[in-house]
Amino acid sequence: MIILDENLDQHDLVHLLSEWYPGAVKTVTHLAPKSKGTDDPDLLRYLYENRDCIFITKNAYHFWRRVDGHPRYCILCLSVDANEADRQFSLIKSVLQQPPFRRKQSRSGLVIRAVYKEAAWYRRKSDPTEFVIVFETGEISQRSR
Amino acid sequence: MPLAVDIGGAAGPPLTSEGLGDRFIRIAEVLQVMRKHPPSQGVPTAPDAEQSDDCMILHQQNIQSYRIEGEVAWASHSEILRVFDEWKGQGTHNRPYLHSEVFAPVKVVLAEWDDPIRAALVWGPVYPWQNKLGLLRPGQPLWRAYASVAVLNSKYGQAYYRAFLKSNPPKATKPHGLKAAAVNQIPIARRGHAPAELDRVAELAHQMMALHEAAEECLPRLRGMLRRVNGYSLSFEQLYRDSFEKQFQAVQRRLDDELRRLLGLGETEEQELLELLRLPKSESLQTEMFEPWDMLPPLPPTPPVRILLDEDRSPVEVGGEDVNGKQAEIREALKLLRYWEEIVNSRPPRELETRAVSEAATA
Repeated sequence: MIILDENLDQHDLVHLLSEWYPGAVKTVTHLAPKSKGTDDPDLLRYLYENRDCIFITKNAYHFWRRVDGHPRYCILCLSVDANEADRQFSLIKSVLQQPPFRRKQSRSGLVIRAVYKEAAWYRRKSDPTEFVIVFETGEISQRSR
Repeated sequence: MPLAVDIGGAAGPPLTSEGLGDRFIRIAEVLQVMRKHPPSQGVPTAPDAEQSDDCMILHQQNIQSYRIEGEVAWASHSEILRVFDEWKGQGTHNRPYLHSEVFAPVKVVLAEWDDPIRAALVWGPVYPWQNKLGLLRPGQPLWRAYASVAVLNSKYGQAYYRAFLKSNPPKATKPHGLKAAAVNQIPIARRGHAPAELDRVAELAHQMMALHEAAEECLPRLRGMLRRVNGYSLSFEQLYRDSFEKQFQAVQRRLDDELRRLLGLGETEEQELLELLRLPKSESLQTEMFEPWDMLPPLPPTPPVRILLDEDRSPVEVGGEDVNGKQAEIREALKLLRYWEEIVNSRPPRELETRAVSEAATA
């Protein structure tokens, strides 16, 4: 299941993802109507209860290096300025087609941050390094925080 | 460009025998193959991962060619280490797989039973239970890991392994299982191969892995669904099981052709290797005017894998009762097949940067 943060709750993006992704696509407000999205202290509990879900947000500030990964879910932070659904969709697609992220069992437990050309990931916020994959070349490297 | 540092789980020093006149890139140059131990006593396991340091326990039957199969259990890696600490106090020399090995971003697992050799490339955290683990050596591109898995699972890899065992039999019959010394010598490519030759082997190996993942994800979803053809109801699951099987065979055939070229095996050498387990002459230094690979014909371009059956590229006629409900279910299943078809035909990552810290700093 893909769960979109409130800041990605746009009709066009939900439509594009639903057409492509072979699983449920929901928004956090749909899943928990009283949720305040990113500011909701219970958000991680919602994710915990939806095993193997992937939570997608534009708010990297609240999540990247601030939360640990958990094997019950994956968090994908899109570090993009643009609000265009097309660009967000193609970035999400690029991430989810990469071998490290394309199956629930290998991506669950990861916190991923994606920009236009690459995605970085870690498991624990205390990890001293993170891995990076460049979409175009497929090069994977490890870099210090 | 990110600073490249020594990658977690990349193993040992760079290793090359090029300077020694070796004409082949061998497994030992690409992977550090190791066998460490499971704990002496059981650790608690769960059917799913629950903590961030949980790893998948891989038994022999879980490791199949190109894939992980069957039910797997998860255990806490810190719990495994704790049991080893206690054990160490009792004087054992056995060692566990370390965190950097279990949680390396990519690794190759090898089943201990060696007939046939079975290898799979994995991304998630795994603990091979009495099985071997291969970690990419620093500086080795990821595509060589794909090629290594392709060779190890191929008839050529099996034949080289047996030929090396035959020419240099183990001194003792025990321990049983996969002999790392023979695995290490298996060639994955001749030196001086064209980059495109390795690319194609890696792409086909990636296709094979993705096809297995696709089959595992899709076939259970097709269970119980029927298609009506000329008044008969056919099982969707069986139709697609057959379709996947055809694709596996087609990719394996192409992979064999590409591997033969990458390994530089001429017709006679191939025959001798496969039938008599005789190491090819090209294993030693050049003895002929033309190398066997000089005579190999060019290979045609690799066609895309087609998972979806032609008839399912247009709307489907559904059999059985509850037609409307079934149609929605089938549409979803076909969407899943289409999704995986796109993945199977996508290109795998090309490089895994594994330079050491000092090297990266001066680059």
